[in-house]
Amino acid sequence: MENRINSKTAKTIISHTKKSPLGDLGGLDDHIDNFIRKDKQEQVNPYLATRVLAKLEEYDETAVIVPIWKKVAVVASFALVIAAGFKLGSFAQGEKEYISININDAQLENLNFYTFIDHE
Amino acid sequence: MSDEQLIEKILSGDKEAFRLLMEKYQQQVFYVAMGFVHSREDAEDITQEVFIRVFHSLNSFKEKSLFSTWLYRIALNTSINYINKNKRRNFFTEAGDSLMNLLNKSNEEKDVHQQLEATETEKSIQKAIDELPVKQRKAFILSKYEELSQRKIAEIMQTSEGAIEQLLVRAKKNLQKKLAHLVGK
Repeated sequence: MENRINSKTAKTIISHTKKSPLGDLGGLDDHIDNFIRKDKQEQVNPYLATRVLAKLEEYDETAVIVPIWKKVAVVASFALVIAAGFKLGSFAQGEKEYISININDAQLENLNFYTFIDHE
Repeated sequence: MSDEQLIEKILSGDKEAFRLLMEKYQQQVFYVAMGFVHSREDAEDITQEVFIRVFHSLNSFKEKSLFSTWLYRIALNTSINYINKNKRRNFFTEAGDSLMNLLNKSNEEKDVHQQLEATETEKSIQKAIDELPVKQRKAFILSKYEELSQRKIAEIMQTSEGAIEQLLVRAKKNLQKKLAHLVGK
């Protein structure tokens, strides 16, 4: 407890030691610097570059595996299906029978019904 | 060999040139990633992803800025994406990690209480850094982990030096607020 400073003193110290935006963070500076130093002690795997190059080769290989004839076959099959759809559609059109219905609105709802005295 | 020469060679299909470029910058990219994830394995995954992205989009690099500036931008974006993707997983792994840390450290000679306190301090700092808003966090990591100048950070984040200064001031205030309990320890 003797080593601690109260928050008011800490704030005063912080405001007086402000140099750069991240300058002195009061007592926090050491803690944060230690934390960052620990993180930075980790070194990157020396084989990382080899690993990345191997991954890139994998990508290249998968790109080669899909041959052009497959792409052409997919496009051709789509075109064939669409053409067949058009053809079938035009066959169906000739066989349709049309029925005309003559609808008289006046017959559907006869207003005379409501004007008869008997029905009032 | 300069970056421009290496890039020219890579674009003409020389993969060894890409290896040289990676070896030149991998540690910097790794530190940026460490600033975001604080774990060696995750930082290596990010570094790997960054260089794969670089390789695939190198032909779109216009040389309007330095290669390192462009690379840092990719590293920042990849790290942020990685964190967002792994948020749920981290919740469980963190709990497991802290338990493992406690078990491992209790076997060492140091005072257990001191170790617990140190672990708690580290955790608080990590949490405070991780909770900074994205822009403040990016500026903080580039400033503290990479020790870059405000000018360089401004170039990377495509903003003004004044804006970076503001971000760093706000980051500092946020850290002070969140870590006030550590002052005097």
